[in-house]
Amino acid sequence: MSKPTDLVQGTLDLLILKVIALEPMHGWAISQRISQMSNDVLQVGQGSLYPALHKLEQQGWIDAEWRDTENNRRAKYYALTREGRRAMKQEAAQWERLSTAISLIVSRA
Amino acid sequence: MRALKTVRLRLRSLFGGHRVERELDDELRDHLEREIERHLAAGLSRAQARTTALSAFGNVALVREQVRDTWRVRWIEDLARDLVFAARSMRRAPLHSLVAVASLAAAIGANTATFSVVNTLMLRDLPVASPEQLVELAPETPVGLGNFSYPMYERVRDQNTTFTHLIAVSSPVFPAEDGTDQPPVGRYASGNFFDALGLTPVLGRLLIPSDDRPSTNGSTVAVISWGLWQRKFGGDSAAIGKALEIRGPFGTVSVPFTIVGVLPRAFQGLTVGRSDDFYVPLTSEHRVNPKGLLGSPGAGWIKVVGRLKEKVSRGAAESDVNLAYQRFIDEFAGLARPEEVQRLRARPIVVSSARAGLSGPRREFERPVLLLMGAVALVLVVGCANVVNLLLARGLTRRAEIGVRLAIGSSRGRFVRQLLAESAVLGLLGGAVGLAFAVCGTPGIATLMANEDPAIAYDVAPDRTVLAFTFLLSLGSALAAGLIPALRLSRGNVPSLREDVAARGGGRALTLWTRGLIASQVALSVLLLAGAFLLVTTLRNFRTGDFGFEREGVVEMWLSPGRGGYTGERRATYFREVLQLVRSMSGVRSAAVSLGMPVWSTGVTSSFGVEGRPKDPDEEVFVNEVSEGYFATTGTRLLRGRDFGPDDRPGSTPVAIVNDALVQHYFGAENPIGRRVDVGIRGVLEIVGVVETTKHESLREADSPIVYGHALQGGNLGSSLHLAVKTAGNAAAIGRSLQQEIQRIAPVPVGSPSMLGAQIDRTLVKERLVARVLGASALLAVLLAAAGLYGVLAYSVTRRTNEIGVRIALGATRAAILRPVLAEATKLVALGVVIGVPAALALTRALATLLYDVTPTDASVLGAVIASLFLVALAAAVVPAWRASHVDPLVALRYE
Repeated sequence: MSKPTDLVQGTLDLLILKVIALEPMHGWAISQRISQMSNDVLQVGQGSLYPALHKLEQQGWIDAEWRDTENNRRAKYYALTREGRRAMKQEAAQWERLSTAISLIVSRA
Repeated sequence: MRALKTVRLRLRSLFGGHRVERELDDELRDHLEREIERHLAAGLSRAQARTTALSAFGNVALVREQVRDTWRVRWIEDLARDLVFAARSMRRAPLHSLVAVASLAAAIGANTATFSVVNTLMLRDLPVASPEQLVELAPETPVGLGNFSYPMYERVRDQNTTFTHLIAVSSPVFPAEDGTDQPPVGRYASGNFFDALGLTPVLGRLLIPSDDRPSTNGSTVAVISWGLWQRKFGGDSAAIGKALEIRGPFGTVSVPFTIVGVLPRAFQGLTVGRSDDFYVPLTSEHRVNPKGLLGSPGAGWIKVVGRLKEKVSRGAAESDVNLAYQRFIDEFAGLARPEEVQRLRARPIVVSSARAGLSGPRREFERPVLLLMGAVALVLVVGCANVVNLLLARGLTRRAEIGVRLAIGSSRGRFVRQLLAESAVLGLLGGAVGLAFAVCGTPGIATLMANEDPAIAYDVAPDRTVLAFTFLLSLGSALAAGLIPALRLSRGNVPSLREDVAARGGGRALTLWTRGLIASQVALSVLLLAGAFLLVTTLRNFRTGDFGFEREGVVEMWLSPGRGGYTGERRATYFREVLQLVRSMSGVRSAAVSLGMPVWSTGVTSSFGVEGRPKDPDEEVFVNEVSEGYFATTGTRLLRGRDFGPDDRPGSTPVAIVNDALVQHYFGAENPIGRRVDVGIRGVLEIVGVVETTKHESLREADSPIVYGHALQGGNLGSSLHLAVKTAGNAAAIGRSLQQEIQRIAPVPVGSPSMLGAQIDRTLVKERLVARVLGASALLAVLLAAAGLYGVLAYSVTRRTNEIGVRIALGATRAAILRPVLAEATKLVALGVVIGVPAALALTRALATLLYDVTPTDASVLGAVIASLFLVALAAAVVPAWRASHVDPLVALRYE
């Protein structure tokens, strides 16, 4: 899987937070969901995913927990924390502002 | 709650170690498996699914690294790993590491030792409240800082506006009689002394202002030091209430003082190196010495220290104090001679920091000690140069390893960090060993500085400042030394990974650095050696020079009939009895009594005029009082006329002997014998003899006129005189038996015998200090440079064993092999000398004030330095050269 085109680290954080806001999931599922939700435009490789996940965990925005899944597998599930939820809202607003600003410039003739 | 969880998480990442790593592995493996499944579900075969998944997965190791990076504890792990690796590679080259550590240990030890002295003398704060607010007030005289008189202190204390407290303490210490030879010594202190310093007693109370009122002549109370409390009273609280007897200077008055308190252990007085045993109120001096110093406006016997008010600068305080001082001079101008008043006005009060104590000891040793800090810093440079060379040489053998690591992708910065970690380990080890050396050696320096005065003891034990200094110096110098090799070696231009090829190919460039370093070491050694030789020559000149007297075999001891209660004529009789006894004893060549001895205890100055000429009130000469036999005892030649004799009694014509300098100055070519001179309070004396000029105050002084009065002829005999004895044989033993014999004839205190030679050496304490430490530094530098040279030559021979083998096989003689090795050594030393000699000529000027009769440009000194260095170089080169010439060609050629 190729790296997401021109995705800044902060944006990947936002995507992750958004995805697990709906329900806690493990790393692979997160990457699949991002891919799905973006109609396969954004492909997040584990090279970027796991560093991002662990950083978010260190920051205290997500919590990690080992759970048993189907097929008797163990996987590490990540869930949003209260600070994470707050941070996500802030990041989302930020992203909104940024992208609007860029569109304004880019869409001018 | 969240914060706690985060902290726990971080700690887990740090200390979790394997478990955390394994969890990450599990996580990644799980991800991979799910990917494979996805591909399987999409219809790929198992093999294809796996390949696709794996190729997309990328570099697992890299991912792991990146995740670890986020754990943000990487740098600690890296450091730990670097240190372990450093220790391992040190163990792989034990000799190299040993020499590096030893070089650093020696150099850092020398630096720590010298710094301990600097710390004790100049940096350590007094153990009092807010020492940074304390300043010393003193009049600035041409010969240093002077003292206050009591009226002066009173005026300044009452009229200043810039100090919260002004305290005073007597400058000389004086003894409390306890019948022993080493009685406790203490000072007079003002009533606010302890309050101003913020000291609290460990027992009883300290002096308070009401103890120190002039109207009551002060209370007879005393405060003792912790040390005296332990020594004399065993730490018993019953010490309170006991008495200390303080006797007046002429032995006539003895006043008991009651002990009321004990000082804390840490406080030993305001003077570094001296420990005051007790303090009594300043105004009580009047009881002990009624005609004494307290009331005299001109007697300078008090040191004044003040605590500045907040936000007042030293400059402001100085102006304020000088105002009061000038007013004081105006007030007392009528009582003093105009020239004295003028002298006082010309010496304004200066205010200097007293946070580290009074400035006396500091001023005495400041310049020599700072000079020595410079010298040992140079030794450190020499030591570091060795370390650099060693690291460069080691790096050469590790080129293969380095090449591989750089090729795999280790970043240059990472690599430099690891090499620096190695240097740091070397440095810290060297520093620890150096500290141990310093702890052993510094007391020796302190003892030298104490100058055989039992009252002086400098505490040079390492405190926090010294430890911090050692740590920073070790780390700093090691990192500095390691930087150059690290940068060079990590350059990464690796022509070949094969060690032998790399060694031969990469040799030349490094050799330039190495040669430069050796040459610098030699140059610095030249500098230090030159300084050391100059000092040693100076000391020799002092010992062998002609100063107008002979120092060998002269024993001295104080005779104090005044302290034994004798007065007037009884004292003269006592002295005569003693002289008679001493002259009759075996081993005694001649004996005499005198007020002053050469260069040592010095006598008085007095006004002087030649009879028949107008008297100049400013004219002053030095006056010593001696008995007959003095000049024979001290080995001073009689040039004209006669010595004092049995006919010169009290009642006959008062006579004097003068020295040649006086004759030159006042009589020129005229014959002075028979002329009369007016000498201050001694009155008119007739000159009966002329002796050669001697030094009387210091060995370095210019010749000056001296009048020798007759010690036993005049009326007003002093309380004590020296007994000087010229001995034949074991002077020390004779001195001791003399002391015993003399003590038998009268109950008069007799001081311990000491040798004139030793006393004179004591005036040379600075020169001896610098000679010893500079000598040790020079020796150290030379040894380090020699070790460096040896190492470099030995290594060079080892590397070229192959080539040497070939040459021998082709028929080269041993001499032909020896020559290049020796030539290399000679070239390096020559280069170092060429750089070092001009540096020595320029820099040893700093020693000028310490030298005597020898200049930095002295050819014999420089010659000796150069010769020594070449000898040392030869010694260092001998073994490698010999090994080179004895290479077995068969073995060498096989050593590929």
